Amino acid sequence: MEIMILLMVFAPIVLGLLPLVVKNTKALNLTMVAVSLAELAGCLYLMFNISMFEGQIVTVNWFAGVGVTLNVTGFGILQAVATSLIWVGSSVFSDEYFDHAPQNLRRYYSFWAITFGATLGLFLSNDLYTAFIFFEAMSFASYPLVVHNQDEDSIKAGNSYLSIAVIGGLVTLTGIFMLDAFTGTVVISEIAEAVAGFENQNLLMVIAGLVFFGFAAKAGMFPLNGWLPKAHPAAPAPASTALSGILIKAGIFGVVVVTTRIMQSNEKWAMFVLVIGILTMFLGALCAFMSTNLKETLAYSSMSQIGFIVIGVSMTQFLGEHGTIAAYGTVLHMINHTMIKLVLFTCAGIVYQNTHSLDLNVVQGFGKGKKVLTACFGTAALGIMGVPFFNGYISKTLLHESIVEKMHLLNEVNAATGFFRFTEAIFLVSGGFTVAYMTKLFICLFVKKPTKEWNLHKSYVSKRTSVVISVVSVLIFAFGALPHQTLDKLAAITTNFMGVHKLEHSVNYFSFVNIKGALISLAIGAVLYFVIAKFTVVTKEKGYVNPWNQNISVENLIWRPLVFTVLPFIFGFIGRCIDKSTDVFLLVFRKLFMRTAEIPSTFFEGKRTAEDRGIESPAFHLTVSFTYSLMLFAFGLVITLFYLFLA
Amino acid sequence: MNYLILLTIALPVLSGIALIFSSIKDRKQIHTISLVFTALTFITVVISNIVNFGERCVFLNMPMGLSLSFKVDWLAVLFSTLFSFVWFIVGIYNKEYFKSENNEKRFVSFYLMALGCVIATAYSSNPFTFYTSFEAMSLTSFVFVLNSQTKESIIAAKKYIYYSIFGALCGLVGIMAFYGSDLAPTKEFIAGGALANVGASTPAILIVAFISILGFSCKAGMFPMHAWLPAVYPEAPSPASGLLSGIIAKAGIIAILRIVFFVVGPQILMGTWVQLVFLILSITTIFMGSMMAYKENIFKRRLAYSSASQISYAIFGIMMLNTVGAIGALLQVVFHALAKNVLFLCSGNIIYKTNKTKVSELTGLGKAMPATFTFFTIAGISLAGVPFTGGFVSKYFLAQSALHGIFVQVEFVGFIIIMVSALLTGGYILSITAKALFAERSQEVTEGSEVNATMIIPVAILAILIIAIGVYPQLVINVVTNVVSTFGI
Repeated sequence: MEIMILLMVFAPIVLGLLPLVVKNTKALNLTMVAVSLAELAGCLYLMFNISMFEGQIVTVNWFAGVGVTLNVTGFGILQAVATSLIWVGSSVFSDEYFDHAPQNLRRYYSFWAITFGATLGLFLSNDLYTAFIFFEAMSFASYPLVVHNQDEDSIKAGNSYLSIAVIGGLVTLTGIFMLDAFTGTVVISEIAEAVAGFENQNLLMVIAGLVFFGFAAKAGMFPLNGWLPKAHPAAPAPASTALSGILIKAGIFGVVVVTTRIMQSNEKWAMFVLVIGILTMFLGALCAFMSTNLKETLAYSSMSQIGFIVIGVSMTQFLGEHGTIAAYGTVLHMINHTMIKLVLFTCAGIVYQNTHSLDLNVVQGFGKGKKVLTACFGTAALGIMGVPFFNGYISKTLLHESIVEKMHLLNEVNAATGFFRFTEAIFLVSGGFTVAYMTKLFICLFVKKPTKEWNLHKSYVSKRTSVVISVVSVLIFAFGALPHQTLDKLAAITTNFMGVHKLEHSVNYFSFVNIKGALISLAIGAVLYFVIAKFTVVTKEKGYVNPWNQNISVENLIWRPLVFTVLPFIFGFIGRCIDKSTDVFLLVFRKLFMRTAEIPSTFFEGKRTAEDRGIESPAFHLTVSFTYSLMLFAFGLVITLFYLFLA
Repeated sequence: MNYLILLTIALPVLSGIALIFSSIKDRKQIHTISLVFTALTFITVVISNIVNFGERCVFLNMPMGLSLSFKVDWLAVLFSTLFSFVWFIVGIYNKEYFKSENNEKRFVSFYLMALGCVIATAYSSNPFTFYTSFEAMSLTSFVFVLNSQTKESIIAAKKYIYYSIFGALCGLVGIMAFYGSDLAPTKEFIAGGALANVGASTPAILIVAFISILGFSCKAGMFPMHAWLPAVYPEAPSPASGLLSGIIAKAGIIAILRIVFFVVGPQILMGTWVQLVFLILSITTIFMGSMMAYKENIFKRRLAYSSASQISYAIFGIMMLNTVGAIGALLQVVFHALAKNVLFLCSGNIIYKTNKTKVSELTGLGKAMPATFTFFTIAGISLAGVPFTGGFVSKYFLAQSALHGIFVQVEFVGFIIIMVSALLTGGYILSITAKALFAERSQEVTEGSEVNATMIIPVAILAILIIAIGVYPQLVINVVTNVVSTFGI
C-alpha cells in the first residue's frame, strides 16, 4: 500500500519528463488521460476503504533534506479524488482544445503532469514541510500553464501569478520555519497539542499569519486576489479548469490547517478569517456580476465561492466541537465547486475553441440549440446558484445553518449577535449575486440572438468531452437530489481532519426552513438581474458593459506600486548606500591623502553605465565647471555666516 | 604513499608551467592538455582523499618552525573534491568558449596552475602553507581577469589584485601573530582550535582574529570588502567569473573556517563582539547583495552581486558557531559552487552567441536557446531555495540554526533577511526566465541559436547535479556532517 501511495504522488511528477522523449502530442494526451484515470481509480479505492487506510503514514526520509511524509486523511483523499476528476476531464478536453493551437504543447503536458502530482502530494501531506514542498512545486509548475499562450495578457497575468507564488511561498516558509523552531513540530496532527502550552499568543498569531499568507494568496482571498481574475482567464481552458477547480483549494487546505490547528481556540483569529471570507465572497460575486468576459466571470465566481468556503472554515472554529455542520458545509462546498467548475470552464473552453472569443458581446447566443452544452451548463449553473435538488444547495444550506446556529448559541448566553446577522445577510445577498451572474451568463449564451453565424466546420464538441461533462452534470444533480446517500457520506469521512464529531442526526435539507434561505437568494438574484442589471451591466444600447473602471483595483493601487516601486526604491537606496560606502571611503581617503590625476575607477564605471543608458551625465559636466566651484564657495560662505551668527 | 597529496598539487601546477613554456600553438592540443590534466587531477584528488585520509605530508621544512605541509582531513576532502570536479567540468566548456576570446594559451596555463593552488588551499595543514597557497591562487587567478587586456579589464584586474593583496595582508596579521605567540602548542591547524587551551578570550586574540577574518572575507566578497566583485566579474571571461565566484571565493570560506575552528576555536569566539560583528556584516551583505542584484541591469554584474549575497549566507552560517549553522554553511558552499557556475556559464553561452550583456536585451531569447535558459532557471531557483533543488536544503539548515542563535535578535533579523533575500533572488532570476523563455520575441531580436554540445553538456551536468542532490541530499549531508564533527562545536 505504501508503494501505491508513493506512486500516486510521484509517478505524475516523473511523468513530467516524458515529453522530453515522446514527441507525439496525441500519445502524450492519451498517456495523461490514462494516468489520470488510474489515479482516479486509486483515489476512489482509498476513499471507499478509508476506514482501513486512514492514518496510513508513508515516509521518505531522505527527500530534499527535510523528508516527505504522506498521510491518508479523509479530507486529503476526498480532495485527491476531486483533483483526479479535474485531471481526467481536462486531459480529455485538452486533446480537442489544443487542435487549433498546437505550439508548446509538449511543454504544456510536461508541466500538466507535474502540477498533478504536486497537487496530490499537497493534499496527502502529513507535515507542513511536505505541504510546502508540494505547494511550491505546484505553484511553479502551473506557471507555464498560465503563460501557455505567450501573448501580452498571459505574460502579465503570469508575472502576477509568479510573483504571488514566490512571495506567498516564502512568507509561508518563514512561518513554517518559525513554527518548527518555536514549537518543535510541523506534523499537522501534532501541532494542536504542541501549541496548547504555548504562552506567547502574539508570537503564535504572527506565525499563523505568516503561514496563512501564502495559502490565502493561492486561494485568491481578499486582498491577495488580484492575480486570480487575470491568471485564470489567461490560461488555456483545461488549465483554467485546474486552476479554478482545484489549485485554489490547495490554498484552502492551508487555511484549514492554520485555523483548526495552530489557532485552534482563538476567537480573534476566527473573526479575522470570517471578515476576510465575507469580503472575498461579496467582492468576488460583485465583480463577477459586472464582468463582461465569460472566463473572467467564472474566475470571480471561484473567488466568491472561496469566500463561502472560508466562512465555513471560520464557523467551524467558532463552533468548536459543535462545528459539524460548518465543517460539512466547508468540505462539501469544496467538492461541489470543483465539479461545477469542471463543467463550467470546460463549457467556456468549448465556446472559445469555436468562437475564439470570450467577450459576452461577441459570443452571445452561441449555445442556442446546442443541447448537450445547454444541459450541462444549465445544470452546473443551477448547482452553483444553490437551487434545491442541485449539489450547491446542500453545501450552501449547511453553511447558512452554521451561521444560524452560532446566533442561537449566542442568544442562549444573551450575547450580541449583530455581526452574525450581518454575515447572514451578506451571505444571502452574495448568493443572490451568484444567481444573477449565472443567469446573465446562461441567458447570454443560450437565449440571446446570435450576433453572427458561427460557421462550424465540424461538430462543436467531441464525443469524449461531452460524455465527461454529461457524467459530471448528472453527478451534480444526483448529489443534490440524494444528499443523505451521497454528500453526507463523503463529508463524514473528513470529520477527523476537521476536528469535529460526526453528524448525529442528519439535516432535513428539504424542510421549508432550509429552502427559505435558497428562496431568498433566488429572489434577490431575480431582482438583481431583471431590475438592477438593466440599468448597469446589461444595457439595451451597448449590450454587456462593465461599469467598473478596470484600473481601480487593490492590486493596481496598492500591491503593484508597493512591491514593484516603493519597496525596491527604499531598500534599493539603502542597499546602494551600503554598496558604495567602501568606494566612497576609498575615494575620500584618496582625495585627502594622495594626489591623483586620473579619475578613480569607480567613477569610471559609473560613467560607463550612464553612457550605456544613453545619458550624457550632466552632473559630470556640472562638477568640472567654474560656476560649480563658485557655487560651492558661496555655499561655504553661507555656512560660515550661519556659524558666526549662531556663535 | 602520502606523496600522492603533493601530486594532486604538482600535477596541474607543473603541467601549467610546462604548457606556457612549450611551443604548442594549436588550440585543440592546448585544450586537450587542459582537459587531460584537470581530469587526472580530479582522479588523483579522489584517490588521494581515500588512500591518504588523515595523513600529513611535509613538503618543505623551513627555519623558525615554518613548514610547507599538507594534510587530508574531512574539510580538505570536501573542498578538494568539489574544486577539482568543478574545475574539470568548466574545462570542458572552455574549449568552445575560447574561440571568441584571445590569449588562449596563457589563460589555459594559468587555469591549470590556479587549480593546483586552490587544491593546495584545501589541503594546507598550517597557516603558513595556507597563506602561501592563497596568495599563489590570487596571483594566478589575476591573469583570468585581465585576459582580454582591454582597458576595462585591466582596471578590473587592478582592483582585484589590490583588494586581494590588502585582504591577504590583513589575514597575514593573524598568521604572524599566531606564529609569534607561544599560546598554541604547535603551529598546525588543530581541530577545535589551536588556541583552545587558552580557555577564555583575551582582547588581543579577538582583535587579531577580527582583522584576519575580515581580511580573508575579502575573497568571499563580504561587506565592506565586497566592492571588487561587481567590478571584476563582468570583465573576466564567463568561465573564469564562474570559477572566481564558485570556487576561488570559497577559498575565502576555507580561510574563515580554518581560523575560526582550527586556530582560534569556536569556544573562544562564542558570544564575543567578533562573532556579533561578523553576523551583522554578513547579514548586511546578504541584504545588500540581493537588493543590488535585483536593481542591476548588466547580467554578469547582477550575478556578481548575487555571489556576494549568497557567499555571505555561508559566512552567516559559520559565524553562528553551532553545528546546524555550520552544516548549512557548508551545504551552501557546495550548492552555490554548482549553481553559480551554471549561471555564469549560461551567461557565457549568451555572450558567445549574441554578445548581449544586459538583462533587458534578453527578451524572447529563450526561443533560440531553450536549453541554456532551462538550466539557468534550475540553477536560479536553487539560489532562491525552492524545494527539489539544493538551495532549499541549505536554507533549511541555516534558518533552523538562525532561530536558535545565542544573539537572539540579531540572528532572528538574519533569518528574516535570508527569507527576504530569497524573495529578491527569485525576483532577479525568475524575471530573466519569464522574459527570456515565455515572452514573445520582439521584432528586432532575431539572432541567436543554441550553443553546441560541448558548451551545453557541462552546464547540464552541473544543473542535473543540483536537482539530484536537492532531491537526495543525504550523501552530501553525511560528508558535511563529518566535516562539521571535526570543528569542535
